[in-house]
Amino acid sequence: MSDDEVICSSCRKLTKKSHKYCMHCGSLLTPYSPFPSQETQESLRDPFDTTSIPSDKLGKFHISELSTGYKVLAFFIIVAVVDLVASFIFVFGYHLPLNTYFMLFVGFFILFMIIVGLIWGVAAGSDFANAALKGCAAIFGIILLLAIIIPIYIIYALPGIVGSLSFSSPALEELGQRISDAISNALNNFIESIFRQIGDSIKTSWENAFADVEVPGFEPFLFLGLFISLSIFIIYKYHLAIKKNRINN
Amino acid sequence: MLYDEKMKENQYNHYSHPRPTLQLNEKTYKFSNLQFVYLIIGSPLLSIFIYYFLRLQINYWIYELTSIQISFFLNLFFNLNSEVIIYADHNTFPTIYIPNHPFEGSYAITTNCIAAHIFSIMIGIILFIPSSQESLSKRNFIWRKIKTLIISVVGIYILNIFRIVFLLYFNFKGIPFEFIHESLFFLSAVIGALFVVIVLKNWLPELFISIYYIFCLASQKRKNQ
Repeated sequence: MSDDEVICSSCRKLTKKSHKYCMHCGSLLTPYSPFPSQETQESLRDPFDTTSIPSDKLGKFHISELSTGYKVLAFFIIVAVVDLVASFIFVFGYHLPLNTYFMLFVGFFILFMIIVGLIWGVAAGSDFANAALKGCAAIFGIILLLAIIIPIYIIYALPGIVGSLSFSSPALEELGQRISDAISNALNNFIESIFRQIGDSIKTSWENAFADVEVPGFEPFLFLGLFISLSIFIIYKYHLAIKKNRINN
Repeated sequence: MLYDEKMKENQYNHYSHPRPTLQLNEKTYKFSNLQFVYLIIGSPLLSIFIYYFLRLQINYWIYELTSIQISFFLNLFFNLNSEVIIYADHNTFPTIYIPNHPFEGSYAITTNCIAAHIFSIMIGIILFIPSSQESLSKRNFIWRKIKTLIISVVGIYILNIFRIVFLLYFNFKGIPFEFIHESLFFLSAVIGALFVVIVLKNWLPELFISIYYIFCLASQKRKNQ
């Protein structure tokens, strides 16, 4: 091994020291990293130094230390609790035209299972957790804003604003009251009809799942399957091009 | 050193690994984690939302428009004298009626007939495609996204119209509905997928590059461990 060569940490082959990436495997060569590696930092720290750790931090519960069985159990408990609350709010808040509470509970359970599962899975990687939680919180916030807060605000605030305008005569006051009532009724009816329709759609699709399903007009699974297959080909092509670029550099 | 400071230092060291930058066609690409979260969670949620939105009665005009255009092309190309029956009650889908038909001759245009599920999937994916953080590859991103969205939606819409036109014509000519329906839905799915992938590759390659970027991040993380 000459002075201008270095061993790649990934493939253990000799490569030129002047290169930023390995000639053989294309991975980043460690001497060119602008930051000290985690391994070096780890070795510098004394693993037995517990004196500086405050006593209240010692023996603290960490969810990551739980066994897989408990994690799975915790996941389903969280889903069930969130589902229970959401179903309760929807059933008593919006009077959805569903016959049974159970059906709504099951529907929401599937939805929340996917959402919580994604958050859980994505947040498992430590450096990804921050971004994952921020993103999920933003999406939940948007859904909450669109579905609940805006209609409630419009129902309660708008008629109040119209009604609170000062009028000089009793006839105009009555007119103002009528306008506010009309807006309130129209909005109530509109929101009710929207939720009734969504409820009907969910109910119909739920019932259709167990009935003779009509063959869809534009085969979605074939479409998605082909889309994914072609995407993999393109991604592989990009992979080869990017690797070639790295080696050239 | 206090425990909290040590934790902070560890955290800093953990984040300090440089994020990979991909070089492709003289452009560099770099994405943020937050955009991936939007793509993974936002796309399916938006697709479901659009699909159920298209089923609402306020979108009955889309069913009417599709039925009228199908009927127009049937009469223009094949002179079938077809008619569209639109019901005052919007719970019933519009129906295309073809006189002198060897079979039943009336076809309801339903949610699946207007390819609502394909539109939902496509729009859901396109709207959440992440943009690169590098200035050169980020250029015209919004415009490219709008262009892709319009071309894909219009393309799939036209493809679907002609699928139904040929379906009804072949059925009129005596080919059993189930046979021609299944053949055409496979064919249209293949053409549709090819079309969308080509459009995305030309105008929004960020979708494929970002997926590859996730693999790069994962492999970098594995190596660092």
